[in-house]
Amino acid sequence: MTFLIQTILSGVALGLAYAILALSINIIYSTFNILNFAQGELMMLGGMLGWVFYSQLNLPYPLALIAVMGGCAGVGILEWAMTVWPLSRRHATLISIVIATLGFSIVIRIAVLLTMGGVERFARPPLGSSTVEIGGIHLVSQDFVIVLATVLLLLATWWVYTRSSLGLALRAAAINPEASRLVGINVSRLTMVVFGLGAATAGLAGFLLSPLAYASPSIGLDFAILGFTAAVIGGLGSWPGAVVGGLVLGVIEALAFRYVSSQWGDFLTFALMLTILYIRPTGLFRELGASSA
Amino acid sequence: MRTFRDGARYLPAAGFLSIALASLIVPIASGNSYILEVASVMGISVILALSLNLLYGYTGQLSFATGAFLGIGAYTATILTTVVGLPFLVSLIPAIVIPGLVAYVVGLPTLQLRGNYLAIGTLAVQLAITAFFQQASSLTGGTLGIFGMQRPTMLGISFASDGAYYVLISVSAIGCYILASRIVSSRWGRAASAVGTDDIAASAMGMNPTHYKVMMFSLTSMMAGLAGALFAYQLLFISPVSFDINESIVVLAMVVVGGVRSNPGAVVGAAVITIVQQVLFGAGQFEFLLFGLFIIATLVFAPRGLVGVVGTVARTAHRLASKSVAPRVGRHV
Repeated sequence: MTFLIQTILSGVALGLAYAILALSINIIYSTFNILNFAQGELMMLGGMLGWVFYSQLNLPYPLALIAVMGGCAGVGILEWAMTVWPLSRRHATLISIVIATLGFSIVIRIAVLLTMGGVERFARPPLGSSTVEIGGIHLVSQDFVIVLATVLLLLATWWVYTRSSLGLALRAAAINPEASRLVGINVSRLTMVVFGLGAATAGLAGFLLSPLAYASPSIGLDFAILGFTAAVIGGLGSWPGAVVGGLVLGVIEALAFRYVSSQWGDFLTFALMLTILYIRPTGLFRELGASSA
Repeated sequence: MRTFRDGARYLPAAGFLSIALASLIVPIASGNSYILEVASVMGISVILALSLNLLYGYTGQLSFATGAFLGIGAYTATILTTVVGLPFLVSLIPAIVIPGLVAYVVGLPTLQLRGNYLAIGTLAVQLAITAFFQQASSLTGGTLGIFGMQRPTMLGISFASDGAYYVLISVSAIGCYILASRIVSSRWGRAASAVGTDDIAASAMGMNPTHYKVMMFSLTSMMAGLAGALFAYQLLFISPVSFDINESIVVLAMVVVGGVRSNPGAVVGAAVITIVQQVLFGAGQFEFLLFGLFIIATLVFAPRGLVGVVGTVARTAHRLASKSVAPRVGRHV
């Protein structure tokens, strides 16, 4: 029983990292219905930059955090400038934009490989590698960091979307981009901001996870797929959905890894995701028929 | 009454025939084994690009599962040949039919999804099937794959040499091109295309969108299965890496680069991407970075693909040519 709880709790930390990634996918999706395939690579970039800034350059943790999120935001804005901006000016379809983000994800992957190498990197945990024992269950210090970061991130997201003028503009642009333009919202610049914020959030997920699971250029696509899976299980664009989806995914992965095998675990995960899609084609947390396209 | 202009109708057919013949003869006549190898890869890619173009270009269903169905075809052919010992032509039938059946069963629920959800759904199908290839080791040999294929012998003729086998590949590719153009211009194909353009309008006009989507998914997966069988007999070794998500992405790039919703576009895209991959091969990892930039550049600067660029150039030339004549006519009137 202790072993089972231990496994589930290790899945929770992993799941929250996926939840943050799913949240970052939702930040872009909920406003512009764009599925950004580069989010996984940006999470990988966060892990790699975390290793560079925190483990190699020995920056203090808050400074390293800012450097990682800032670096990822920069790459996210570069992505916007190279794909979303020129394509939406030419009235390209959403699917072509999605395919362009797929092209950009390849660019990130190879650029990271060429500059930081293909080795598996771990960032050192900020609170050391000590563990806490509660009733026979061991928790790693990084678990607490991830939980705290998730809570803070959710609070920040809630504040931005409900209390700030940026959030108001985002919600307006999501409902009607044309009308938003008429009342003076610069929708094009808003897309840039959203891509920057989404990229910074994905980078945060990678930085938080890197003491627990390695980052390497080859893992980005896997991250993207896991992030999409988490977002879809909860319902694309839904904030509570992202958290629940991430947790479900993390716990299933941890259980499958312990009790079955990691590869059959993948098979089960994707089979589960398809099943959820078949039963609720827009995820668990989304009204059926609400923007299913 | 027949006029000289009627002859123009046969121009595309003549062009097609000469290109088909050239693509068949030139690689063999060159006698160069490297050219033959590239041409073989290109022929298989043409089949894959044509199949995804029918599904995505005409029927509007984006799929990330092309590699999975390519793999099902390849594994079916390989297992039936090496374990059961079936001859080439007989092994070809299940290698085509089984991907079609799997696509039908999987597609029935998956193709109910729309837009981004469909993209993610087919992504999950691809990944689940890749995981199956890797894990069902007793059947698929796991990540190590299966050795032991041999080039086919058909009706007493051996296709062991690269040149002879290339004939099989190019004849199949040409056959698939003819099939794809027949489908597009048929009543059924136009209905599928209507579903792709606007499935709600199509269903209002009495078509069943799900029928067309699922049948098209099944049919194009059969084409991918054929490509898989040809691939297995060409390389003589298969492993899950050849059929993973990256393969699906490359085929999607072929369709986008060549020109969505155009069969010649699919052929051009398959040829160009195959050559780009071969030329950039020496550049190592850097190749893929250029590959990514190439996809973005095409989407931004040539949204209708390379074939669209050719069309625009031809129209501009035609307009310029007619402009120089037009004012003179105007003065008389």
